Amino acid sequence: MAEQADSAGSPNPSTEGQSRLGEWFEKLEKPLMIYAYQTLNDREEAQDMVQEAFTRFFGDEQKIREPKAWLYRTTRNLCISHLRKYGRLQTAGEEEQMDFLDQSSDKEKDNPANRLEREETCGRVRHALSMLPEDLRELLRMKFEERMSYSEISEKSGLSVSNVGYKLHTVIKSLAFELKAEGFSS
Amino acid sequence: MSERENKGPDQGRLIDYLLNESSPEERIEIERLCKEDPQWESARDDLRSTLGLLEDACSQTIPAIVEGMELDADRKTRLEFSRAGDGEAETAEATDPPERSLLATPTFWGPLAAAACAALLVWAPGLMEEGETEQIASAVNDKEKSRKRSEENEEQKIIVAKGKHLSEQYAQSDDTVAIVLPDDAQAIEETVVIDALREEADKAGAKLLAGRTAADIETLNQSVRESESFSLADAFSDSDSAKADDLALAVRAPASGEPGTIDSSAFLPPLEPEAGAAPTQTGIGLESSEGELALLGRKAALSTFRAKESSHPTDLERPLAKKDKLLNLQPSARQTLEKRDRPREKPASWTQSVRKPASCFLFSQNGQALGRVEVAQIAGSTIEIRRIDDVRRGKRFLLTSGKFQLRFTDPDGAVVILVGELRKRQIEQAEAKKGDDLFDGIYRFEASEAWWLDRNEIRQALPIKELGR
Repeated sequence: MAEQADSAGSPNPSTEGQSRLGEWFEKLEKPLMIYAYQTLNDREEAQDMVQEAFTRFFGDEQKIREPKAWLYRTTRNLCISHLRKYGRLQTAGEEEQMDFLDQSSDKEKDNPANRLEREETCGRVRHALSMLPEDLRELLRMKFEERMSYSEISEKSGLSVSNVGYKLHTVIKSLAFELKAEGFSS
Repeated sequence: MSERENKGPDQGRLIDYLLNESSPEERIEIERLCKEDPQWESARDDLRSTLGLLEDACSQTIPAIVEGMELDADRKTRLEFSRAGDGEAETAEATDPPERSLLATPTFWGPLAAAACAALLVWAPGLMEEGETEQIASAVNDKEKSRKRSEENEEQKIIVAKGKHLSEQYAQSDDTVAIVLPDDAQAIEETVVIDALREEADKAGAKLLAGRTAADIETLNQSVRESESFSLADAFSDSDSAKADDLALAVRAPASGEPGTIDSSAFLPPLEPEAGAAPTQTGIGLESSEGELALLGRKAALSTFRAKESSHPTDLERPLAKKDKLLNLQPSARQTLEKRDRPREKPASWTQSVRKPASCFLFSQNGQALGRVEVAQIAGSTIEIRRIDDVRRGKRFLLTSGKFQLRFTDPDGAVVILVGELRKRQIEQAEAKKGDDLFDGIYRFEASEAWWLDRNEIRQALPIKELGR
């Protein structure tokens, strides 16, 4: 399926374009399928949504600056529209959050629209976690679920304290960047 | 400001700060930066939100990756078409053939063409001259042919798409396309059936039109000239100008000739044929079908009207019903509202409100709610409190020492607020059993200021020394 770049001839715009499209497809077909499947819980429907997202992407690729964020956002919107269309969209239950990290008021949290948006964002984060390598996921789990300090994680994982910090920083920064690029409000 | 700070917010430092991994000096520095620089503040808020989401996500089950998550071969092929830029029409046709075939069916278009032709005969008889029947018939046939050609083009496009799907399309030097038909026998069979039906419809239409004679048309013209007709515009105006418009929708004028009130029955045909009403003979045999069409139209209009009428009262009742339902479901909310509306009074004994509160909540210095607490012990201005529900998922989220507020509400609704320093109560090493945590969840709150809230929610100072008595 992947479009191979013409290695012999000089690159022309169309070949480059097609190669780029192929590259994004190669890179994101599986993650997007997993994301759509996690949202819809139906393989056939997930395929429809991802196909539609790529069809739109191929039509508008000249205007798209952040292909990954665009494709994720489009897939998510398509899935949500699909769920709404068939009345399968449900709001999440109550959320819990750590005191230090929570500055939103109870009123804001109780707003169904905010709750729904938060659930969508949380779904996206869960997807991002599911795509991480097992060792990184374990680091995050130790930090956010077990509430361990860097030094405790270091002792348990055998990594140096600075390495633990570096790995966690990298994951958190990239996730924050992706969420922002995909238009999730903070 | 140092050079490091000028570069903009350092996300790593902020993450460490938010995860309580910074030294006290670093925390103070970060707080200063966030206070002074909106960029730092915004970056901190973004990261705080991301960390909150990560915490939520980590506490939930991370979905397992299901194997074989990729598009199937058919979808990939369709995507290849769209990526290759072969034209949107082909893609659309290839992905959605059933809808197209419905519209392309001549059984759908044939009767419509005949009806259009008949309408032309009825509405524009003055333009008709002897021998024009054949011209109209041939014009309709031309339209049919033109439509047929465009349909054939569409069908070719589908076949091209299918041909590409099988990689059996080869470009010619003269820019034409050589198509090798796919092995899809059903497509060919469909084409043959469609052609046969189309031919049949053409013949029927031509037969109907050719069957009319010049005398038939003259009879039609005569009957239209004799009948007193007026356009819908006449219902609102006395002007005769609209009467001249033969192409306007004609209806019969009331016998009195006065416009009077507008009644739908004046321009909609009756649901059932009126007794004694003889059909007008025009000699072209279209009254029955025309009447049927009108009857259907009237039935549709009435059913739409009835549907709207029946939905109308429900729409009005719905919000009220919802409101009642809401209030019935939440009597506690009603009580809360009533209680809230009562004006607040100064507590009879504010120290009693602190000692025996109906509820007590902890707040940070900037007013962030940190949940309910219970008073374990009071000794002078030192209050020992225990947070309720601070243990979530088996973990206790600790508070760092600092300035906090306690808000007490007594059974009468009076509110007392204490501000002071909060710190963890450490169990003495000697008191703790082996293996026990040195912190048992009790905080010590050293109150330094006290207020009560008046009816305007304004803080009124209280003498803190009274608490020690």
